[in-house]
Amino acid sequence: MLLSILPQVLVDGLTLGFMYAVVALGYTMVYGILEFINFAHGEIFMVGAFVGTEVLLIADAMGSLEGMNPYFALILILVVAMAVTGALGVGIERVAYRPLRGAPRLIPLISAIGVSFLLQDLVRFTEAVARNEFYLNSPILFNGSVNLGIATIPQKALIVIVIAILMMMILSFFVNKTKWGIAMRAVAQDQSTASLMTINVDRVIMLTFLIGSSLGGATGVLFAQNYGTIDPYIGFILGLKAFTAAVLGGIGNLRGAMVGGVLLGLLESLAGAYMGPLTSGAFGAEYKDVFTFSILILVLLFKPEGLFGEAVKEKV
Amino acid sequence: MAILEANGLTKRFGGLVANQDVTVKIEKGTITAVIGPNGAGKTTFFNMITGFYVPDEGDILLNGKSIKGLRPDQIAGRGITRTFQNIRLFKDMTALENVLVGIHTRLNAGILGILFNSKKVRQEEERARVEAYKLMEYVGIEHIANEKAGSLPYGLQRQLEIARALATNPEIILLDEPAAGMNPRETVEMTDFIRRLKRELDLTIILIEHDMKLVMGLSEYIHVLDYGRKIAEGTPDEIRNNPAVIEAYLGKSATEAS
Amino acid sequence: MAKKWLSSFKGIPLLITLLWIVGFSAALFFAERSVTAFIGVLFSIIVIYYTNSQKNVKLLLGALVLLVIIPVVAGDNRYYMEVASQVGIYVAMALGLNIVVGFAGLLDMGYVAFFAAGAYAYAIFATSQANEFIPGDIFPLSGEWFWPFLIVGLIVAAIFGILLGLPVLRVKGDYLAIVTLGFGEIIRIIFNNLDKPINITNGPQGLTPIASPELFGIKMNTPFYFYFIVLVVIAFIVLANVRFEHSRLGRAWIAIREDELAAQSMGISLLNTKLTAFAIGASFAGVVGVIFAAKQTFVDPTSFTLMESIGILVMVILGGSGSIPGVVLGAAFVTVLQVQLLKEFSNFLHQLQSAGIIDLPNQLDPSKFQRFIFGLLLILVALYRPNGLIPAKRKKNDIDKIKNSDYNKEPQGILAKISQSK
Repeated sequence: MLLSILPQVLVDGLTLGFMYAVVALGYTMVYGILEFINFAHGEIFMVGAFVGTEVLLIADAMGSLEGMNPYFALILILVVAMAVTGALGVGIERVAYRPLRGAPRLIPLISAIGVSFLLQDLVRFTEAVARNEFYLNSPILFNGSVNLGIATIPQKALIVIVIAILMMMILSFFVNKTKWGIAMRAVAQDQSTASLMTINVDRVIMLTFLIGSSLGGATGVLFAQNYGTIDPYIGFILGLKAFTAAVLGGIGNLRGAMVGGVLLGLLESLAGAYMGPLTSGAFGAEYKDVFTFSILILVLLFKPEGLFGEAVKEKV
Repeated sequence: MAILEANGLTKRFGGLVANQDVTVKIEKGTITAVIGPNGAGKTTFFNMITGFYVPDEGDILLNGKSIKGLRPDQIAGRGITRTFQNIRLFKDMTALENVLVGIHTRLNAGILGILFNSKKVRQEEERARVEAYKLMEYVGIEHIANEKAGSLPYGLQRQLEIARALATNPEIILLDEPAAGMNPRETVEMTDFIRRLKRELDLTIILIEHDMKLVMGLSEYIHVLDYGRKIAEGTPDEIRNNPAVIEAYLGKSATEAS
Repeated sequence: MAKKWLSSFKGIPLLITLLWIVGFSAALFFAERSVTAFIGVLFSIIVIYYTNSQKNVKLLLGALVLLVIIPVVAGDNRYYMEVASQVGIYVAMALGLNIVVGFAGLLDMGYVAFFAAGAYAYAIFATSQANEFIPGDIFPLSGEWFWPFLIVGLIVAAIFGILLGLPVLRVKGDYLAIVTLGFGEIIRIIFNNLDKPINITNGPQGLTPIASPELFGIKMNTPFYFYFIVLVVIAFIVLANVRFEHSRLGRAWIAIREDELAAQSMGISLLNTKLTAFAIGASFAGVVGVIFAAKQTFVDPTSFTLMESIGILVMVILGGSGSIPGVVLGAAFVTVLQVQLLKEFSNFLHQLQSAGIIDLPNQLDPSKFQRFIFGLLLILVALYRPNGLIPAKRKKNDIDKIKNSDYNKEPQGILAKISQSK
């Protein structure tokens, strides 16, 4: 019995894991450059989910969703959500983080925590005015499923995985092969030297927030498409877990974030499915968040540099 | 017997070897300088002695006993203290309080004693304050006792950092560029002061310094690092005439160093 | 301009302070449920703090307002006493967190876990819940046990603090915020699910009825009594804060906050020192938790969410991290804002709604705007007032007293070597 659900558990874990991975990229990119935990990144993801879903709902209300090609619809909401969240990320950096560069370390973190809660309520507020409810049920574009014999994979899960992989590939190409990507890596290594090399550090930081946030927003869309219901608080816990994934992989390391995300998704899915049966019901799926946080704490204690990160030396 | 021995210290960061097989013996009550061009690994060496980095290879002996692997606070407790290249004071505290922090390990007040403000704690505090103030007098900065440390001018901050280090009651003090950023007159004062520390307080002093005049005039013995390796050691006269040093260090950057 | 004015500011004249106190007390006495008057009376504590007179006079005035005026003028009004004791509970907790965040600089986002530990410690034994796992049917304990349980709560929370701190405090810098947040959630999830395999917390149903405190046969089950209990606890916590702040321990905390590396090279052990801050901060929350459980007579995991931790953090940061008067002000301000101003405003809007003037969707109820307000406050403070409303100040030492001390006769520390060598 336990084994028969395994393929399904793995598919769920992969779907979740790829979402963690893309969101983790946002944390890791910002941390790599500013050594700063962008606490509000989870909320950017949440905003992306709402923007994408709202576009679908509005299109549906106007009757234009009916005959629309689902692939076109998906690309449309992805693009809109990425544009909005990208701009939002850049705006937040400009208003709430940039003035605090050079301030004691706790101060920007506090500002980021503030942004995080502010965004949750702003979205709730907006939805309450617009729809008198604060959660949304998203129309699902892909309802079919693919039968692989041992497991049926819902189309929507496949979409999540494919798009996440595509985004990661594009990002890798960008960071490794383009001028701006190389500038980003230079700034991450050494800000002052990079600025001596006529790299505009402010602009690179802006770009980092633009890319990280739009990736987060796109993941929000995927989340809404996969799970159907969203509320303003989905970003918080998911953000924490994506951050855990980034730490697990080695913060500041892009490949690490991807591997860490997928790994964490799989572990969590396995824990959710098997903890209950293995402890004969004493500790079931309700403890799966406890499980994830424990991973975070264990990694920070015993391998703080993560799976792929390099041990950092403290500047004395 | 040497008070401090570093035997074959090696420290790597990823691919970079910051210190390679560095062996240094320090005699008690001497002033020793560690010199070398930028990036030669001098501060890394200090960081290993004071426990901020654990050497990958080699051993550190204090009075014949290994202190390798101890935490920085444990090493401080055994009588090795330091100042930092980029002054690290407790900026929000007053100058006197900074010195009081240095006395921390020799105070015994516990949670309950503090909570009930017991007589013992009050006496201990009073005594500590007197000691801290006298140390500031000794360094010549008692007039800034109640100033916020972060708002002091640079020279006073350096002096305060030394007063704070002395408060730990050390046997060995490591000074990381004590005269950096000082004008010639201040540099002379600092040189005299370091001599006084040795003479009056019986301290063993190890310093990193770029000011060659200061190094040659002050130190009794010099170790030279270059690219993480020790390339020479000797008295100032020997070092001045050592071809390897001239080539690696003085030759390349003699103008910059003087 | 403003700076100039501030530096020439010597304090509020005593006369104005007295007028303030009398005026608002009278207003509160005569007006029925006047929010303004009540806030005015609470605010008089701040006015007294800034008054230009001797410390003893100020202490006396403060005690007068807290111990006499508020109970006499508002004592028979359940609502005011309820608000006042809630303010007190949050002031006490914020002062506890101040030790962790303000003094030691450890951004703890799971502080409410210790509050929960204290609350559950009392709730489990002051209801019949403990019978589930301790044989003999001796529970619930009677209300007289409330008093020893203040100490039990303190110890339980301190143990929690040490157990959580041991792994967590090894984690560097801003990771600590995330990890404590995670731990706070873990504790809540555990309390929420610990109704099996052994029923310890009764899970999401919570625990009730929790015995009210009893003293000399008097059942203290009204806000009036809790007001005084909380006052005593606050007095204790303020005293502790003041004593710690300028002690050996407080200096070590602040040294770690300012510069961990320099602190270590002064011989300060990071883990031990942080752990002490964590445990002391936690123990205060534990005591307050016991009071909270007794006052509410009901606890369940929903009282201990992340928002509570954030709320207390906002109080500390807004008031002035590390500043005792600042934290008191921050806690009072945020609590009054939450339990009184927002509620009043939302009642006002509801009246308008029932009069048919406006249409108010349920989600727009101002009392639900906690996150928005907390978020905004945090951003504004970080950007414009990073040291809070009343920034922390280090006390200046009395140099004359040091010079005249008897200890000057004998040389201390390293300088003793000079006299030896002579």
